[in-house]
Amino acid sequence: MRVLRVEFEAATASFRYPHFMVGRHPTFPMPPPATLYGLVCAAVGDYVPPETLRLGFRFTYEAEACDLEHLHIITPKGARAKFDCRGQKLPLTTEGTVTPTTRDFLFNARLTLYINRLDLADAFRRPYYAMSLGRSQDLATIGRIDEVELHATDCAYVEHTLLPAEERLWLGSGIVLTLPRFVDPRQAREPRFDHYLMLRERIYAHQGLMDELRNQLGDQLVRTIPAGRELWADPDTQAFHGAHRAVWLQELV
Amino acid sequence: MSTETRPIYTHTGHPLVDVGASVIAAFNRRRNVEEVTEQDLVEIVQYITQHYFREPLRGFLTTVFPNSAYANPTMGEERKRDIVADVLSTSPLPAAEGPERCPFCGQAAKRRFRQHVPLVTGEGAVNFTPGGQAGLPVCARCLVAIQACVLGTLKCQGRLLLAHSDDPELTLRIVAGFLAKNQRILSIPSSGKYPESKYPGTILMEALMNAQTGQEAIRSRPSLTAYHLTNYGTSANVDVYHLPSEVLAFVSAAQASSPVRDGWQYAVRQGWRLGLPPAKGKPADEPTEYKVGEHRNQLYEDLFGLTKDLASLGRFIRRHLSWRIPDALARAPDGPPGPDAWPLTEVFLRMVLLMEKARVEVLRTLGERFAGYVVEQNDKRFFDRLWRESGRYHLLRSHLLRASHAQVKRGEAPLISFDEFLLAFEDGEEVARADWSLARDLLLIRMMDELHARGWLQEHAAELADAPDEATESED
Repeated sequence: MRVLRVEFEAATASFRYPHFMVGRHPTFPMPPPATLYGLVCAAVGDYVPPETLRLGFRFTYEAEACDLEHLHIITPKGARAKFDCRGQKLPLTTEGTVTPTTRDFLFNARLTLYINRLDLADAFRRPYYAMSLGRSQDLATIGRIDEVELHATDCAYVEHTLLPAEERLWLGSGIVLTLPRFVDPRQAREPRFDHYLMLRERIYAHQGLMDELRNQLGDQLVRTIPAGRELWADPDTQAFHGAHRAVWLQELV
Repeated sequence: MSTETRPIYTHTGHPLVDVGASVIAAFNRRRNVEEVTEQDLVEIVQYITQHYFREPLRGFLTTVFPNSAYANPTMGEERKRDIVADVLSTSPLPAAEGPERCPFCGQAAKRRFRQHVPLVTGEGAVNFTPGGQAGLPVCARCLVAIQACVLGTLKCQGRLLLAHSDDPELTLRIVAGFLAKNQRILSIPSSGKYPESKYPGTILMEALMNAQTGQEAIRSRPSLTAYHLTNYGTSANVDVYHLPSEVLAFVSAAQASSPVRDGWQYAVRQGWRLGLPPAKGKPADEPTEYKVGEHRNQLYEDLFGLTKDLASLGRFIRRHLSWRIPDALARAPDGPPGPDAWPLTEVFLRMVLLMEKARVEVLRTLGERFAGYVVEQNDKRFFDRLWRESGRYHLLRSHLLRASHAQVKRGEAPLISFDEFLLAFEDGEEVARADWSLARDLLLIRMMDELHARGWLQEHAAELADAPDEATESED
């Protein structure tokens, strides 16, 4: 399977929990699929039909930290509201209140994005809008953009990525998060959520017998993939115990 | 699925809604949230109406639902009745009422604000929402669940503490435990404050252990996320704690059978002691009984805060798995000797650190071999050097080489082979692993178990130096 591979770097990244809006903005430890869709659309400069996209990624960061930032809470004012300007009463339409808020962020983020659309390469070479991992100030730079032939394999390692939540049953590791899968621009930005397994540690997934590897690494690190799943690996990644890193491409809708 | 057969609640993955739905299920003794009926909603609304408007709960609700009908003392009775009829309505909104959908369940929804949905924006604020529409669209049933969720949480250090798992059964069992506690409190008329608990990690680990059944964590591999939040005025805040499935599985496996269970129980007992506040100049009077909510268990707190970076893991291992060290012996001079630490340590390495099996085995083998060497040669100096003078990688390596060389001169096999050394401490020739000091600590844990079993450690306890200061450790 031939896919597009784009590498991003950002000094900071922050993926806010959508329903925590005041007081503190914690961050998800990985970018939600909806954020990655937004990143692709920002590069293209338009909404890409979501049904044409399948995305996979690897995301890491050096540290998590928090900082205070000013939120300007905006409230519209009624028709009779006025404000004083050099002795004159002028109509007040909108008011902004400065609110210091704790914002969590991820430091020195690295994202390798895999996209099933080879035709989008030029969009990443000349992105229409600024590339960012989260807020507008979380600017990202694009490093390598290339195509890679993913190999179907019977053994690969999985790390630093999101998978469908049901994969936790055989992988036996990680944290399940409910994340925005897709925010529909045609439906007043109505969000659709899904459950994902966030896996950071390296787990070896294999099909068939891998007794030698299991004996060496143990049952916790070597897991058998249930029948019917395909395993694709990026051959350019570092090999450990003869296995390359798996790429889990997922649909948005 | 047709509208008639659609359950009122299903698992949504959103903590406030899932915990609230679990409260309604537990309150009505349902086995899962899908079994909740219309009548169950009526029952919980009655209970809410009975208790949310008076002490002891009303005061606490100012931190969860500020300016709501429950917590606003200036609101007139008629206005309160109107708001309650709206917020606690159990009838679904007609689909024609508006185009908006509830993000939690997809049903027809109406805009709700911070006074009824914690941590969303207040009325009028246009930030963070599409089209500048304030608040969040929430359907009637999810809103009732959000109101009810307080009953399935604990008041902890002035905030709401709730536990949410991707396994709905586990969420339900934890919620049922908290609900029972809250019902006991509310069954006693009181005009005072709602009872306060402390130490969220300790409370949640205890709740988790009470809720987890046997092999469930190992079989279904749930993870758990805890939210510690307040929605109070400008102090609004939320802390999120993730407990990965491997940690849940470890906690379950640690209690399964001896000798691992013996180690776990000992570590838990030590954890209570470590959690005592430092006494000023004299030893603190230990309570006769440690109480969850009153006392801190450092083991539980550290498990909850385990971020899996090397510093956090090293601290955890030194604090909770190295109990044979001299200062640990001194902490409980009259207590019975602790059990072996290695069985629990080995489970921790395999399940939480996901350490390679071959490396765990080599650390165990080396620990046993080094202990044998120390006893046979009575080489207290070698033990001392490993224990006290190997804070830098080159020192550790030279101590091992020197002892190995001495063994070879005696006509024995070297103390450590080249392959063993590589697997335990190096990433390649001459390149130390990032976690070499962790490996050294683990080796010492196994070594001390063995030295204790052979009586050598007790014999030399008085002469042994204090533990090295963690701050002097350096990664060469």
